[in-house]
Amino acid sequence: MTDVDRLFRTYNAALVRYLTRRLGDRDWAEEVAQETFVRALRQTSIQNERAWLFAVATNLVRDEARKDMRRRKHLALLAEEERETMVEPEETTIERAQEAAMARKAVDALAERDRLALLMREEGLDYTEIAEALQLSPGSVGTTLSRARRRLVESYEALQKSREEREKNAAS
Amino acid sequence: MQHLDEGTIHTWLDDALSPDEAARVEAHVAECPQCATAVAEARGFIAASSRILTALDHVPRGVVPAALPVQWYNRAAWRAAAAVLVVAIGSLVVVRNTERNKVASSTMSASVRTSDAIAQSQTAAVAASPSAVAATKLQVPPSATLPKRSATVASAAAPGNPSAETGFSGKSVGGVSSSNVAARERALDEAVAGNTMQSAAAEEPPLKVVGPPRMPGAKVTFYEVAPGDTVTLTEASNAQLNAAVATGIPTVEPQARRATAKSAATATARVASPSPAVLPPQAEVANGVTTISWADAATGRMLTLSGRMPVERLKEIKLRIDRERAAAEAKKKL
Repeated sequence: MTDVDRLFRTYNAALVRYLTRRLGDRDWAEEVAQETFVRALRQTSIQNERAWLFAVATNLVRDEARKDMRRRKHLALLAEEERETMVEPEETTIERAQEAAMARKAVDALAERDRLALLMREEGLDYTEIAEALQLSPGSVGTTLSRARRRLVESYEALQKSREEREKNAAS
Repeated sequence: MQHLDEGTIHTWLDDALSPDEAARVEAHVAECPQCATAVAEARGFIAASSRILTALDHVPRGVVPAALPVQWYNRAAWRAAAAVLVVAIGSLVVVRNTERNKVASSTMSASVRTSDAIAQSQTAAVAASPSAVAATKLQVPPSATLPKRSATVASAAAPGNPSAETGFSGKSVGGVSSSNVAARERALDEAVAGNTMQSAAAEEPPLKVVGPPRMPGAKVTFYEVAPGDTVTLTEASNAQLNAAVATGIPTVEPQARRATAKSAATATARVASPSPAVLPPQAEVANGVTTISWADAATGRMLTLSGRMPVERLKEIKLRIDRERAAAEAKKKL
């Protein structure tokens, strides 16, 4: 097994999931993940593989977004539509789709650094790796994560509450 | 010890503190209810945010296809329908052309002979008519062919027939030319009609009934043989008296109508004569109006056909009337 094979098998699933959560688009996420592994091929040595891969993937998303604002806006629009139409290929209930839409809104409401730190942590990166990938001081990761989690949960609950109120008003 | 800040609690819960720090935090939480509550809250945030983020995983592969399943289904259905339609129309055209070519090649020599026969005498074609009608009765159930064809098809198909246009233009009134392509086509049509009733019946639309009876004391039916051209079938209340009158574009040519009326009168007079079954086919031209008369094979009655058109065109119409009358008779029997 070559080194890139090992890298791919070890980190691809987490990286794609991280990018999917970050971008809201599985295809785009896989594209970015593949580009990340291609970049890894060109490296002679990588100190912390996971941190490096997540950092490069994050930067690729940033660069691509910067280079192609139009595409990002278009995708965001489509993603919004998709969230509202709630059409998914998998077997899904309306409730589940609404949860996904609210989760997306809540995640999008976070500050970029908070969001990335949280998504990386969810993929198992430790504080050192997150600090390295996001160029934070290791001591601030805990604060970043606690803020991200609280805000995420609070905005999600706010969305949930307003939805329940809408449904109540529609029912009455 | 100071109360724990939220970042430290999360760092501790994420197992990111050094062992010394972790031990201190653990001891404080055990003693401090306020911090214990904060830890419980932090655990809740960690679990909840994990759950919220998991909901993001139900993202379709690609945003654009995600919104399309219903449209995809519709598109596929429409494509399938369109494909079926195209194949069906294509098959119909091919089959019809093949059949027509087959018939044309098999009857080409017959048509030339028929054309010659028309030039010399109409006897052959007219004599072939009764057997043709008989063939219709035996081989072609009329309910399966003629009645199902719509009148719109008749009027829509007629412009595509060059013989119909030429026949009603009046340019070759009463003239029979074997070198004339149109005349050959008409002769071919006639040969097809006489020799292969089945395909002819399938291809040729029925004459369209366009008007109410107009002659007192007689049953008169107007047929449209081509757009703007009508044929009048007159059946007197007297069972022995039948007359079919064809007119060419009466609204455009009022003179033709008068001429037709005149020839109809003569036709009526002649039809009244006895022994119709043995009466030889007659053809005469007066004032540009051609008149032919014959014995109807189904009823034995005399029929006369008049119109401003060549003899062969009239004969073509006559054959169609023969067929339709035979079909109507057969339908009555059913």
